[in-house]
Amino acid sequence: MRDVQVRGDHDAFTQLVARWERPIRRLCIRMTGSEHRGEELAQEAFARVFANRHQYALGRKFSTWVWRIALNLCYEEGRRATRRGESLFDPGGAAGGELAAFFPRPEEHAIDRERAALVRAALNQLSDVLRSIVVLREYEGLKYREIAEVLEIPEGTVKWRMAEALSQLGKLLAPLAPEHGHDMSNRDNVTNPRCV
Amino acid sequence: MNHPSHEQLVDFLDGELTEPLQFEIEQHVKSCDECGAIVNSWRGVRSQLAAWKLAERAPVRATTGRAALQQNLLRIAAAIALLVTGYALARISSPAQPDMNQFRTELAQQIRGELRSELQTELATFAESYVTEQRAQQQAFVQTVHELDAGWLAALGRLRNDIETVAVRTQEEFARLASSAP
Repeated sequence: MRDVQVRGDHDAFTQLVARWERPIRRLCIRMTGSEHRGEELAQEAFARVFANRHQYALGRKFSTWVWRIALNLCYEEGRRATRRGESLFDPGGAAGGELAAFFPRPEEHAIDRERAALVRAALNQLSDVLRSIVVLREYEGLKYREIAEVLEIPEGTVKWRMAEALSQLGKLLAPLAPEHGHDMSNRDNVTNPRCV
Repeated sequence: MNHPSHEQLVDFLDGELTEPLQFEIEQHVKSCDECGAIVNSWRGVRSQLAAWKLAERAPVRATTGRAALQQNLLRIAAAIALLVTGYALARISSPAQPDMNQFRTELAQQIRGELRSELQTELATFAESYVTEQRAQQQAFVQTVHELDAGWLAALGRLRNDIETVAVRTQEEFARLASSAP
């Protein structure tokens, strides 16, 4: 990052993008619920990293800075969509679907798609902050201390909000629970799904 | 023990408590329906979240400026080569006897058109990004100069006030001394 900041080194910046492109893309897609918009936001995040490179304090963690930039963009996009009266979550997308659209099908791939759509729609019901905590923890595998640094809130608050998010998701995802006939116990990463 | 806090249950779920506390909460969760239901629900949620998988994409090599232009020109060259090959193959496989002069003319026109269009697009993109970057740097420079100017003006203003104050006070003191002199 020093080379990018001091000399505007494009090759060094390319290395940074190569390292962070995938995680930031995943974050933006999961925060917006839209693959297309998420990819646009990820590109915008890197453009902002380069444009604001002089504001980065050397010695601080680059990861914290880049996560925060991407999250702020996602929050801004969410606010813009709200003002326009739109939903960022695209029900017609590849992983699209609303809670009400959950109808199990015999084909396993179709069921997987429905499950993914339900999870996506459930995450959309959470507030921005709760969603960002869930995404950073459950999908990106950050420690609570790291999430606290990104969001600039105490670690205890992160845990409290995580509990709140899990409780809300528990209600929203009830149709997927085993008692509803959807046994998820054979899925991998049960304790800490670091799925991508 | 009393019901653990939700923060403690989150740590319990991740196994991040000290060993004695982890054991204590585990015993509590086993015997307490309320806490047991919460932990089971959260475990279920974590399992369900794994259902949303994203297709991974090959990392995109980010290039800007001159490198991007070179890369795009290479792509254009490759596209033209492909076009020529395809066109030639189409002509060869055609049952009609090819008119070589007409073929050359058409091909040359097509290549010229494609090349012009692609080059114009790429050069316009490059020029636009270059101008944008230059403009941003100029704006940053002008902003810095303005800030410095503002700082100097403020400092000069304060200095002038101080000098005026000293002058007035000195004048007053001289007047007082003059009036009190015998």
